Amino acid sequence: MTTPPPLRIRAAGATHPGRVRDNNEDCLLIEQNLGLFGVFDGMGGHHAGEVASATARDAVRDAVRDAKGATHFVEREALEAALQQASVVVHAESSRRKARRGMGTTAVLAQVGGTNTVTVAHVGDSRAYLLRDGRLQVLTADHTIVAELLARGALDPDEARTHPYRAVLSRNLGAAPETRPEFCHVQLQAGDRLLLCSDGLSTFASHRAIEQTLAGAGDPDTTAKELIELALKGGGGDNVTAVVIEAGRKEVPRRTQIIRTSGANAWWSQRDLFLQQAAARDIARSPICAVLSPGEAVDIVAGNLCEAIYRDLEQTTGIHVWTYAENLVAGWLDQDGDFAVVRDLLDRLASAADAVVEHIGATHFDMGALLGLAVPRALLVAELASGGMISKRLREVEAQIVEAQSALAASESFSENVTVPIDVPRADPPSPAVARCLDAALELALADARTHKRPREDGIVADCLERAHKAARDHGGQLDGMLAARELFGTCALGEPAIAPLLDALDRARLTHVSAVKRAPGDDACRAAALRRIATAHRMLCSSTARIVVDGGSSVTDRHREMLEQISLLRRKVADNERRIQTLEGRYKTQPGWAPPRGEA
Amino acid sequence: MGRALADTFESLRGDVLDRLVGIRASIDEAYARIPDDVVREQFDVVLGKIAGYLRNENVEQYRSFVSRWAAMREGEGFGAENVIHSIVAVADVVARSAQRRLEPSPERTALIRAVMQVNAGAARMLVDGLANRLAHLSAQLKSGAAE
Repeated sequence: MTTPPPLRIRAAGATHPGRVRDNNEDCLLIEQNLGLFGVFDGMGGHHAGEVASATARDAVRDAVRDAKGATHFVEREALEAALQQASVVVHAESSRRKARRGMGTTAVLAQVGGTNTVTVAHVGDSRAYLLRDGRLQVLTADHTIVAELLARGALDPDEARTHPYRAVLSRNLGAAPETRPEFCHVQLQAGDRLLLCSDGLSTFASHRAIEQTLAGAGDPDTTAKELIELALKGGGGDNVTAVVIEAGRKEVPRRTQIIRTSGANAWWSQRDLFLQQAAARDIARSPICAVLSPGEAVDIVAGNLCEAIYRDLEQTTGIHVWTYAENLVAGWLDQDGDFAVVRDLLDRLASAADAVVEHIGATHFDMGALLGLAVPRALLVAELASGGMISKRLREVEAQIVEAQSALAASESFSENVTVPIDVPRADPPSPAVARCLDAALELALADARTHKRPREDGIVADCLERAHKAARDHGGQLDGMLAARELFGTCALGEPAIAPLLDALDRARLTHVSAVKRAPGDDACRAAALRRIATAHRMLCSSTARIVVDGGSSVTDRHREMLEQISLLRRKVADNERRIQTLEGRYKTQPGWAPPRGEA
Repeated sequence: MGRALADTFESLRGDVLDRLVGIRASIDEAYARIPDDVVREQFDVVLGKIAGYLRNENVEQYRSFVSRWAAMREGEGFGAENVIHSIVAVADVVARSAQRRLEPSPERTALIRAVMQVNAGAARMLVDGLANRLAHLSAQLKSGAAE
């Protein structure tokens, strides 16, 4: 038997002191994350009722939260323990202060479980109702003296309605350390609504009126407010509280949903074919599957992906494939594995998926076309998840490197040390003509930088230019930006006021450098290659600087806003630069003899 | 592919751009802090390149652009994964826009597939680049620890 999918639970509540009382001794509990909902109706003079209900609510919530954290959670046991705990706490509080002596509270709780079951527990005359298919039924029996006499047949209903002790509770929380809650269970169905309420509602609104209101079209929040209004119209002689819990309403499937479901089903119907295709592509030979038998490899690695795709297609989400890919990448990287292995495995699986879609398309053209877009889209999420996981690891590794180097250099000043001595993978050296173009561009750019006659700023611009030039000459522009950027920060004495001039300088250096290439000697192909190297070098420098600014600023909240403004400004300037670079590139491409720079083609 | 697809794409471009600007905060919250016109320009550049790709089918040229565009965004402080997300989001929005605004036809399918394929390839390239960086730095960290 398959487990039913969990229903979507929405809940809301409202409370009101009513038309007679000044204070409100009721309180409500809505803990969506715990699946826990409740209503408490306190009693006792000198505002003790308020204290009793609030104390019981907090004690119940804390106890259930603790129980949820344990490995074994049973709703009924958890609620019983929580109510006992609440009774002990309220009673202790009542015993401690004379003004609060005798205080107590009712409680009605609903705990929603993972299999769409609801466990209802109650003490006192606060009630739980279930609305199903438009019919309202009371789930709880009031713990009043009169109700118990009625149940035993000692009173008839007419006598009960007018009995002077009709509101006197036979059980409550807090009158004694122990309490005797009563339980019932409901298997929820889509469209069901549960109502938890204090007697301020059940006394001052008729069963029929509650039923009609609860069956209305309003969402839980609106319905709860309408129920309060109902009690107030009925006299509002007591505090009134209502919590409405809705279990995923039945909806007529829309056309897109039908298409979605049929696509998902068509995919799932070919699960065996997908596994066969995956097996034929030797996924079991992947090092990732080394600890699995060939059959297990196919069943687990391909089977799980097949299911993830199915679920994502059905729900139009990406979360299942995302989780699958993230786990795959994280698990492999944890073993110091090379991402290329994951890439290879994902490629094989994607190829198997293509074969399945092709097979479906051969017999059902429209379905094939639908899945031909939907399945690659689902698999694209794997790319996003992989990128996210690798980025996360990258940040961790960078942080470890910086930490290690900082520890080594702890006694020396920041600017005097290369914080991250990274061995940058080198691109091909530039041709002599390109090298000459780069050298000339540097000279021209340095000359331009000096014309502003602001020694400090010009000095930083010159520093940026030289570092970018060095990277362009040595590494094809692929300098490690973090290294150079940190050195630049060191040059700027790492003072926060220095950030703005540094960002300006980076921007000016880039502009100056790019413009200098235009005037440098050499043909267009040389200049295009030089431009590519210089642009890359400046980008890396800019990228790392921005990251350092962001990282450095994140812990300094009062300076952070200012830094973000600077970055925003830089972004605009960088966008301008990008346009200029594109214009230049476009211009070079129209020149005879132009060829794509190395590394791009 | 060719001119017909590119023209169809151009007819969707305004809608796609509006949608991208509208959902930018969900792509990367940093986008939310950037004025509309700046974000619009940034995405419009990408859309222009996609149109170019549909016209000339030069995938390498598009990937080259994406790598530069990604570096620029990283340079502005965006997380690498969010840059990949942006590229994927563009393809996604094009697909949704085409599904919403164009009648079902082989041409619509071809357009969506082409945009999705080229952007999947671009995302793949960026992920592989990140993986290379990670491998390189991890090796360096290990060798440093060994010393």
